[in-house]
Amino acid sequence: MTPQAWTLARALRLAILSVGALVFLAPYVWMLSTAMKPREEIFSSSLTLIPERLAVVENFSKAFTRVPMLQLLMNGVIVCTIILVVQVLVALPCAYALAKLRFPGARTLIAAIMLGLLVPIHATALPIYVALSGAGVLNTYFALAAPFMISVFAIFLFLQFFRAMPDDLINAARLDGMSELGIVLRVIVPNAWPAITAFSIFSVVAHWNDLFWPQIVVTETAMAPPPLGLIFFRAAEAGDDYGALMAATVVVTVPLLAAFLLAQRRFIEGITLTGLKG
Amino acid sequence: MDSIALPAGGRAGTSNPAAAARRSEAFAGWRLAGPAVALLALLILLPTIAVVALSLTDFELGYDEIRFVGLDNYLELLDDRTFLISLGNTLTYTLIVTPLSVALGLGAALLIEADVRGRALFRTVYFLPVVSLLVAMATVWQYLLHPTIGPVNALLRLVGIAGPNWLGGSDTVLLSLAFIGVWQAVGFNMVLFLAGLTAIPRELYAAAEVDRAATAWDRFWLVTWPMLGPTTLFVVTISVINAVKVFETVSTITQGGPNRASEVLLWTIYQEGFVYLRVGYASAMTVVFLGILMVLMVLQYRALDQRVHYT
Amino acid sequence: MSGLALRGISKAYGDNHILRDVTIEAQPGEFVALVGPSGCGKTTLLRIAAGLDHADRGSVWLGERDMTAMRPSERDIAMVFQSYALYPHLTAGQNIAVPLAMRDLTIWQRLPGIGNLMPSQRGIRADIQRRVLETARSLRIDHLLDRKPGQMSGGQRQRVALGRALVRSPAAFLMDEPLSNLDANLRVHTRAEIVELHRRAGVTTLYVTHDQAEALSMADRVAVMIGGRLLQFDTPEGIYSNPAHIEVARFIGSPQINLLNGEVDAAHGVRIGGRLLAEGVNARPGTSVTVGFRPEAIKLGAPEQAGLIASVRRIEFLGSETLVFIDLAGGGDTLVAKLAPSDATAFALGQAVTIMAASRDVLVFGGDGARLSVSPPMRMVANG
Repeated sequence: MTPQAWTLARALRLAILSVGALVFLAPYVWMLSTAMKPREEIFSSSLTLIPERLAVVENFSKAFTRVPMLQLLMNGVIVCTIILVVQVLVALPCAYALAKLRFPGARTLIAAIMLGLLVPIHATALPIYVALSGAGVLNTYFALAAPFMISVFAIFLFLQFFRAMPDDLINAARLDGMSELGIVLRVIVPNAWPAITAFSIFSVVAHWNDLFWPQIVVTETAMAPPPLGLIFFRAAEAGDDYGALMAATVVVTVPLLAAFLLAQRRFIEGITLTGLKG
Repeated sequence: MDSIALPAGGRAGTSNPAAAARRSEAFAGWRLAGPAVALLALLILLPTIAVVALSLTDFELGYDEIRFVGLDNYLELLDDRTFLISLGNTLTYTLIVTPLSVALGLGAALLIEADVRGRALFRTVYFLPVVSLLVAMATVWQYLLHPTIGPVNALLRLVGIAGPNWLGGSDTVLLSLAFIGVWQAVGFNMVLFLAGLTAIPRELYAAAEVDRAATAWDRFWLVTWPMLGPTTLFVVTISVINAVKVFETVSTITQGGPNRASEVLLWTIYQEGFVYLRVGYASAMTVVFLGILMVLMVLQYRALDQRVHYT
Repeated sequence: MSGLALRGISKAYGDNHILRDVTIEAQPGEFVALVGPSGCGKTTLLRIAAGLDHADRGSVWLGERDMTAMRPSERDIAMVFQSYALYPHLTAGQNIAVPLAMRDLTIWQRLPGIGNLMPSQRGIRADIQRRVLETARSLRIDHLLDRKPGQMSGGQRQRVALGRALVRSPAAFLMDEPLSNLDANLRVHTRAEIVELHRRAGVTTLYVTHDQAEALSMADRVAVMIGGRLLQFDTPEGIYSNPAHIEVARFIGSPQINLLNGEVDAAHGVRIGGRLLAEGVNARPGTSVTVGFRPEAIKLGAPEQAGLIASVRRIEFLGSETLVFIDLAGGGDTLVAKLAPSDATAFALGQAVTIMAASRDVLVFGGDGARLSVSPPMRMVANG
């Protein structure tokens, strides 16, 4: 291939990717731009990106006062943390037992876990909702976290990871006098960080963004996680004050985006790993 | 110890160390797996059975009466126009989103992998929607696609085209939602393809070149495409499943409207079950939904078994 | 038939010089082995010959054709890869057919699915089938043609890889350690088969290996590369008994050649610990040299005979031969002698012996590693 052809191919690649990138970035650019625009400019000149009069304070103060925005973010953090901690605490010992111990019923359990991978929250939501409603615990953190306290996916992922760990490592720990739980805590966990990190990213992204379940069990704004809070905010604003609405979207989108931009490699690795094995 | 030989009865008795070790290992195994087993039963197994059972009743939340109605709910589904429209819309949405998001994901991955310049930047940009709050981004798209104040139609007006009411017209709403769905899914598919691409042995490309596969086109069909087989199958399956599960954008933007033109499966189930509280009927819909997912997984499994696994 | 020439090839990644001015010219039909320790640049050189890598300087010629700027697909060269690089989704037959399909079918005819509808492809495909079968028969893998690489043993895959290279009768063969993934028995067997194939096809072949036994047993000429330099390019006999450089002497031969430090005396003789080992060395008096002799060149004698004094440290019986390890008196050096088992019975552990060697078997290397000439060649030395 001649040098000219190379530059042409290179330029073409850059051109196509750049056009695509513009389409992908457009919503973010307009989100930021609109969040800074006053109402009248939004309605008159939607193609101008830089506002003539900055309305940042106005829009963001609405976003923080019409709904308890900090409370929403807090709710998101609390729910995601509860879910993640319980998921990992339940899945790690189970995955270890399945990977390295021989006990009756282990094969059945693995089969049940593989089947469980096929069942999404949407399928089990009705009975769980009926039960939570009967127990009178709707509009609580518990209700938000309850159906996700077991992650068959976490068990599956850790199981794959532990199977690749050498048996001799565990035998050595046993000879050193550790109990099985001690082995999990002091040998397995320290060596399983890559898998735990990957799963954590996957879990947090999934549950921070989830709307389906919160919309079912939460009706009070004070208990809503960010996506549901945004829905409530739209309802309160009749969906027409786009400046304030965009300010609110910026506020709820930024935490995860910032985390992603800071730890891109880990995010992409985590989601690829969890994606490929799921 | 005086003797190495064990008494003959000792092997079967309680003093047998091998059996004792097995028992203690089994005990430890169950203790470690116990919490997971309990939660698995309580949160997945039981509810799944319950949803099937409820689908055979006329249970409504708020009414104490519960009656076994056999397959009545399923028969009703066959005549339910909303449900049939919903099924059709979900199918259309899936048929648009899956091929586009897979093809664009593959295209982006191939272009990004082809050269080093801008690799990290483009990967980041295309991946952004995956980690963005979909409800928030749906709101942004709703603004972008707004018929009068939206930048998309403003742009079209510049070139003299009167843009439609993208999310408000029954002809365009599903298309617009599908576009947002593609926008959201491409980055995810792209990173999966990127992972698949890096796993292809470089030597195969060298062999292809020596074997006179002179153009990038030839090498794509000789090496890249077949070697990506397992990845592609997986990406297609997960894209289909995610498309069938479309909910957030509908719930945020259109709520099934206008005129049920964006009524999709999960939204219909949500309405029936959690708004109208007709649990029995919604359970029947859920069983249909679960059935669709199962069929998709079985199809993937069989395809995986037959064609794309080489070793 | 044409020869393959690599002229003045240099390549570096930054300060890391992979190849330094290497020139190798293979005659038409010649089998040339490139041998050297790992990291010596031999595989890079092969990839440059294939066009998969590009040299910073130098040119690649096939007969009268300058191929330096040509792409691999234009070079009419076939290559067998170390990992075989078979396409895992294609059957053995399809793998072998790939180079023919690429050459004989148009881009439209090759399109998956649609290609089958293109006009006139049927005859070409039948012809390709015929030649694949012919090649497979000659390699005795015609019963494997419908299997995929994943269903074949290492040896079978290796043959398919050979078939893919053979089928289009290329102008030259490149082989990159094709036997290194086979077990020891199969390796010796396949070695003979490749030589036989080469004899029949008569195609110029460049064969990379790190195994000196492979290089010596298979090649017409051997190129020894160390540290990115070509140190010697000669017949196997020449490489073994007449090494041009101390590194060549060290790399070739098993067990390794014995090397001792010595000094050139005023009469151009080489002395080790005062004893004269060789005479007429072409070097200035007083320079340090290294003296080498192969294990089989060593004769062990009774202690009262003239020679280097040593004692037996260890004896290894290997069946067809016996290795005797001996400690040199007054120094830390241990030498190894290869004896016929019947001759070795005369020695016991700790026994004192003298070491002797015919002067024609004594190799002298200068401080830079280059071989120094010794004259007159025929004389028994090692007299005090």
